Amino acid sequence: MTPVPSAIEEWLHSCIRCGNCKYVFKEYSPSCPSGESFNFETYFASGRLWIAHGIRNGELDWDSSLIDPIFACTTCGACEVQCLAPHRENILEVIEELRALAVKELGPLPEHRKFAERIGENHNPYGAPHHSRELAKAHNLPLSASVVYFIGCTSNYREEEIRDSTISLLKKAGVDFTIVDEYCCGSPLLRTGQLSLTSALAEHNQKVIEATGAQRVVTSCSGCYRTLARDYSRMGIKLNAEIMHISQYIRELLRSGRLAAHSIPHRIQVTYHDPCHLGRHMNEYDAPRDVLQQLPITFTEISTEDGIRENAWCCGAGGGCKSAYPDWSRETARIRLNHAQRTGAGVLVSSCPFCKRVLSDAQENDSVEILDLSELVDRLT
Amino acid sequence: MLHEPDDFIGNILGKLLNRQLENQPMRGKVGRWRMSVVLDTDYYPISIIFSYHIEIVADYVDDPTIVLSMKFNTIIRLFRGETSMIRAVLGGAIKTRGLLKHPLSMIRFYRLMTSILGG
Amino acid sequence: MDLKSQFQQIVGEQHVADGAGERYVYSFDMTENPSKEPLMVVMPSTVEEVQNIIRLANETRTPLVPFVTGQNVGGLTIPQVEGAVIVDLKRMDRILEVDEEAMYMLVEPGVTFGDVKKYLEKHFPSLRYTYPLAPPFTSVMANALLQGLCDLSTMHGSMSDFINGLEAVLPNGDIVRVGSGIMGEENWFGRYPLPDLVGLFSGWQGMTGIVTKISLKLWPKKKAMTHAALFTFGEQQTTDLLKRIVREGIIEDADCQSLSIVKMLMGVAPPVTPHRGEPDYGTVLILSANSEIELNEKYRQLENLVELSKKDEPRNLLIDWGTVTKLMGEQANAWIDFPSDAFKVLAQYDGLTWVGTYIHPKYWGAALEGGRRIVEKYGFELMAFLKPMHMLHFAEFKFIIRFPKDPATLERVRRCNEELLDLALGLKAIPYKTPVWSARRLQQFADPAFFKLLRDLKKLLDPNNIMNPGRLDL
Repeated sequence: MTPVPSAIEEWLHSCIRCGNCKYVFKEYSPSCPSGESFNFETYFASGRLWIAHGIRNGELDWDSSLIDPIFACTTCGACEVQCLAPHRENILEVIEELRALAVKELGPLPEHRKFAERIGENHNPYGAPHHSRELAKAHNLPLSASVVYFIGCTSNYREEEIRDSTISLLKKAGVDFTIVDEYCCGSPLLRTGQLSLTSALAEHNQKVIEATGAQRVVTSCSGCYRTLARDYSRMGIKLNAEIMHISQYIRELLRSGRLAAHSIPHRIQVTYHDPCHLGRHMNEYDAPRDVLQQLPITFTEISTEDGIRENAWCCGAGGGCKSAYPDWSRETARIRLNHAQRTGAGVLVSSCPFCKRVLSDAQENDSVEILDLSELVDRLT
Repeated sequence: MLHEPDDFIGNILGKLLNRQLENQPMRGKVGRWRMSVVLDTDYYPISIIFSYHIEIVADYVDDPTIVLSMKFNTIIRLFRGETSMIRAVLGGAIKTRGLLKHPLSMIRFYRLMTSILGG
Repeated sequence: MDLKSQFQQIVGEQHVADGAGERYVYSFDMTENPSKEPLMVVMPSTVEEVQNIIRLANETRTPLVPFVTGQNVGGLTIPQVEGAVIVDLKRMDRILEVDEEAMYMLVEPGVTFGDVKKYLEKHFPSLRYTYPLAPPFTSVMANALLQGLCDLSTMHGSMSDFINGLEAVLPNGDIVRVGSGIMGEENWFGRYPLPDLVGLFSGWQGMTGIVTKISLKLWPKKKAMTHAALFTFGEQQTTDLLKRIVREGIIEDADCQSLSIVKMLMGVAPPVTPHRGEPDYGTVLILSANSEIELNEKYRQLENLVELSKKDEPRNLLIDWGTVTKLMGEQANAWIDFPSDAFKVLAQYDGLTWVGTYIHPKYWGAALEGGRRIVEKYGFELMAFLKPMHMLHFAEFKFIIRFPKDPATLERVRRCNEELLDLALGLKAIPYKTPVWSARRLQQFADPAFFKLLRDLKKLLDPNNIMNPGRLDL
């Protein structure tokens, strides 16, 4: 793995704790799920940056009481959007590096260790039997193709409707695609400071993707998208293919006419939640919206006060929080569900299986149907 | 795009020039110029050097192609459309040197300044 | 039962923290003031909880340090003694009342400028509050009690002048109201005609109790507003011109700053240094009026004053904000908006400090000249910030220093600030949001009877010395 320069070192003399990381700058709505819930200064980005500084400076010693401030953070990146200081684009880098140091000194959180072990054994964090290429055989997919559909573990082993819908619409569109013997992209490990397996995972995925000769890799999962498109290159793993999120690919298919929406008697009212890994991390806000515009639906945005696009409230799942802080994660998701319910829409669409999962888990009634974008597109094309 | 210098007037001019240079044809045209212009203001002199790349320097360069002497307030007035380059020259608010020796450079710079400042 | 458990019984387990991270992060702020770790942090959400916290602190002789956002640029939330407990008041964040007729709001400690702006825009759009050179996440109450300045200060004075009254929990746990609020709810219109006991809390840095509600004046939003930038040369000439402008009563506010600050806003990378021939100062002027006609007339009068000043300094320049925006880009509008992003230039590093003082107008120019020499001597960026206060009944000035908090720079900052303070005190200026080292020095210059009275009052109100002990070097 290519050694990465230390973000903590680089940004050692940064952050006056101005508090901008706590609120959406102009709207002045809360932007930090962990700070809003736990309230202490340590649970905001500025507090975490200073924990990193303190550890690096030797002013703060490692202690188990640091675990919650360090790990009760979904790494949603809202702080990076709101911060106005020079270090703003490196806050998450500092937090992830701090987590890696914490894992080294204190060990991973038990829930994180569990999924790391499962990734080691089963190549997915759920411990489900590894699919290998059985799916490819079941769907009669070739060994080589111009597009690899990288399913992602949550779509493959938990939110399988997302996988199935995606395969369905790719077939509908006549796309020359295949599925590889994919391992976990490594995102759950990268976000929780457990770096020892990540290179091996990346190298395996690189090998199996390259073996197909594909020019494009399309993924359903926003987390996988960010990891493949951004983290792999930082790790020195070059995927010689264009990495696309499914929303971007569907947009292309719709625009070229390879996919066409059919008309329906009653338009459903839909709203959209921006996944953090797709939106803030990869700056993609428009592709899902462009897709929704092409469908026979009525689209209503969540209000700017509740947060959309770069100011979207996090679903609460990321950064290892769904497993390690389930109650808080669920509460964060409930807040987002309230935002969606306020639009009056009957359907809440997102484009990340993990968002779908945590939002569904948090829902106490069926007031809103929660769908992935690929499911909605498959339904309406 | 040119580097915006650290002095007050130079930084403003740099911003204004960069906005013009976003236009590719303009960028191509200006990129072929070889001349230096001194704006000798009542604050301090600013030199714009058109070479392989454009540079702005808070100094009076040696042997400039053109010198325009004016108050900084005149630059602001040009920008606000309260006067024009021609009116300012004719009225004495801008004094020029190098007009006769380098008329083409003067015309080029006049056009550039007109598009940046107006008038 | 141990102390932590006793506090947990009052506020709930999840609202007490004594972890290594909390003790560390609450032990310092952005200034050069030395750190000290608290014992723990406690977060009440009601007045009753605050009372119980204070009663427990009295029983156990536990020092308490009130905290909301920690942005006071004076080290005022850093404990000065061992074993202190930080009382973080940000959960008490309700806007309790807005009285449109008497134009005031009643707020809890955790209410920020951002909260107030959002609330008033939604519910009372004809009214406005103010804001300081600070991020929106700054406590409205803390700023007022610490006698800070804001964008209405040129007209109306320090934010402490906006206090109509308050409710506080005294060091013995009793609740007291001061101001017209003593007559009951929905009556917080003013401090008079009563003995003005706001003075027992204003400027005391939390040493006399914890204020749990504060009534603050609101102002009608003017129908017309404009901004302008004034560029001037020389300390004496700049302050003379500002004085003339302010006394005319045509501007609502003025923020005069070293041109370096303007260049920082324009995007010049650090270290930002003056260039010979540049204006020394850039002043943002705010004009407001009840009609465009009135506004235009005010602007015309301003232009006249600047034109007259050109007899002595022909290079003085007044530029309307529309032109400023065209010259410096759309970012210029963000500087005058609220929330303004202008404070971002202060967030360049991890350190920020200043010796902020209020001063007699006659010494203003000398203060700037002397301060400039000191800052240049220590090799820091020239970031003077000055504001005429309350129609120039007094003036504010400070030299801002932004710096990386490495040991060598910290030492240089301390020495520079000591010299700046000595200069200010020599000109009879008084520091605001005064850290302990500064208060110590102030006492060497000031009338001893004043500080004796402070000590006596402190002893009377807080015999066990539990409320932010050590502050003002009392």
